[in-house]
Amino acid sequence: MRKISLAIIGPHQAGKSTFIRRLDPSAVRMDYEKGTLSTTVGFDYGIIFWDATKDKLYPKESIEDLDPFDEIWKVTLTGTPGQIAFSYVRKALVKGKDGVIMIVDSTQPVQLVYALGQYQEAREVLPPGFPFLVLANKQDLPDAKPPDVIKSLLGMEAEVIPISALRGDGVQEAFIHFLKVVRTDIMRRSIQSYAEARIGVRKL
Amino acid sequence: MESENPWEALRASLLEAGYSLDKIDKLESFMKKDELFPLFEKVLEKVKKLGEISSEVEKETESGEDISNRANLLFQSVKGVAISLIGDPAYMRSFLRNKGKIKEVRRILEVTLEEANSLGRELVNKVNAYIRERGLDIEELRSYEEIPAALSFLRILKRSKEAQEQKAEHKEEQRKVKEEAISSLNEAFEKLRSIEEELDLMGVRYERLSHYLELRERFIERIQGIEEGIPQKYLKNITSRLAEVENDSKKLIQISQKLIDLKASIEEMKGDLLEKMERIEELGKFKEIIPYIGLDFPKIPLLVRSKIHIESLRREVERLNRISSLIKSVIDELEYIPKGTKLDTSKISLDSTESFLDSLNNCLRASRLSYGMPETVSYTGIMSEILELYPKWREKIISLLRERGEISLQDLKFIPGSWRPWVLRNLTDEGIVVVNEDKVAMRIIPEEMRKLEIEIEVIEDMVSDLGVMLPNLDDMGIKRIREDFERAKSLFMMGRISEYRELISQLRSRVSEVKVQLGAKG
Repeated sequence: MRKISLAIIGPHQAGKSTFIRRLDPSAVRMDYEKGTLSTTVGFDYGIIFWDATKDKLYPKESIEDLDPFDEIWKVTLTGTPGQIAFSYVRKALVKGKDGVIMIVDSTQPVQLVYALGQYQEAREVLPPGFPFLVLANKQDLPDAKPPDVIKSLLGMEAEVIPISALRGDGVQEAFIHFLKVVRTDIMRRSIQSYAEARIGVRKL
Repeated sequence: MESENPWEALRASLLEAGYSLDKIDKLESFMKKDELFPLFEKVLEKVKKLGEISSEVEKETESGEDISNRANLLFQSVKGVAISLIGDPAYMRSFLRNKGKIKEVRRILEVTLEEANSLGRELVNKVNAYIRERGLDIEELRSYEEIPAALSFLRILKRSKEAQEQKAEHKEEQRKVKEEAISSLNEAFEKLRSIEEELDLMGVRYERLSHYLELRERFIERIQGIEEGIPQKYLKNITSRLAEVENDSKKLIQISQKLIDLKASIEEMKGDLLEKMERIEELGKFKEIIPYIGLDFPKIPLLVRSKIHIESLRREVERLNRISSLIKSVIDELEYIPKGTKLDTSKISLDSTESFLDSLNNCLRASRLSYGMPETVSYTGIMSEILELYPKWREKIISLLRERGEISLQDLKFIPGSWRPWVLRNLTDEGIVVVNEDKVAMRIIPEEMRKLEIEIEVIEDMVSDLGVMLPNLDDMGIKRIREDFERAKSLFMMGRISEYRELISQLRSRVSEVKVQLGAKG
């Protein structure tokens, strides 16, 4: 089975855990204590299956429902600790991932600066052009800023999709949309490297 | 000095002492018949008046109460005469009154009158001595009767003298106030002078401050020239104006200092900015703008005319601050912008220094943040075709395998030859096909095994992703699960079904244990 590994980044309390648990209700909560850290770093880890043929998500408890002849992707979701101080933990968790979803709290524009900092961290450990999506969470709250405002505040050409992880509004749609982007990226890289190695094509 | 009729006063006193009105009237009548009453009344009036005047004199001259006490004794003596007569039954009858008594009373009254006259003279001497002692411009008194008038005059003189003394004190006070006013003005002007020097060192001249310093002598002369009292309003007006100029001037010092510092700092940053812009070809056409930054900044030496001018300088300082921050941001952006970043310079504005720097900063920031972002998927050529065709190829292969169970590479003519291995590799990775030389077969795996394999994969993924955070996890145990699973597959292929089932059952419980272990902290 092919696999997509995603990192979920974003400031503290932006809704990362809620998002992961919305997709995988039995996601595990990891409490990580290491070295001189005086506090415990907590993050979530979830697994979900994506049937790319039917464009459908399956929780890991329903694997018997998967059609063995469909294009199934096992998707792992690794949440990251949002606190500013845990930069090296985040980088370790983001490294090697196929894509990054950044969750921001639409009611806390002031936290976008931390989100940008985490985006920069991801860029340090991932190759250029990695699939990236911004989810403007907490859209169910009355003071939530719309996605275009979040986008302009972030000042980057990233795709910003509104969701409410708490209610589940837009979560699956946004996630499947991003999985397609990641799949295309994986396929593209695969085609590119195959072409370069086997056919001798330098640039497609 | 109002004086009650002495006899009437004595009558009241006798009544108060318990003598009846009838008796008092009889006494008066008998004294009149015996021709005692006129003398009695005269003596009584004399001692009463003497008591009053002597009391006034002694109060005025502050010389003790000797005479007034003695006059009071005389009055008591006269009163005693009346009481002795009214209480004497030998006198208080209409006929055959005691002639000896009458004679004795007359004698007492005459001596009392003489004594009263003597006290009067003594009182005159006392007043004259006081006049001489004080050197007052008053003729000496000759008789007792002149005393009341002299007393009035003395009082006037005294008041006049007090008034003169008060006037002298007032003048002294005025002098002190004036000195203090001049001293505080000098102090205020000295402060202004020192501020002017400080501004001068910065190359700044504040016209309003200089103007007030020029008026220093005029202000002080005017205060000195004032004869009677300093108009407080005038003084308050000057001091408040000086305080206002001092405040403005201090503000101007701060503003000037900031202005000088910012201009120097911006000049320094311009060099750095130009150097960093050199590295980016697309910014070449904007480099020539940099030397012009600062041409419109306030020039030193600076002549500041008014408070409004200071306010406009403060706004300039704010503007320079903004420009300085913007240049710093642009330098930082240029520092971190990755090589080869594409810049969209079309939005760079040339309207003003600030708009230029701001738009340049935004352009750099947007490019930096967007660098490496995936571009819109618009693959062209063969990549686009393969991405488009792969799902169709995949579906076709699965359909053929379902139909035939096995196919050869020759059956995949619908796929370009060079891309067949890539397509089959993908299907192998998916776990759908098994490729053996030029044969492609469906990967046959029982449903229970497929489910178990997925569960094992999930565990392997978790260990791979989170292994660092799971120090107590038995890595080897998980590796053994995978090895045993592969063995179970072989057993199935070899038809050793009972061994296969036993191993699968055992693997299921081991997988469940590991799953619990992985989720235990959750």
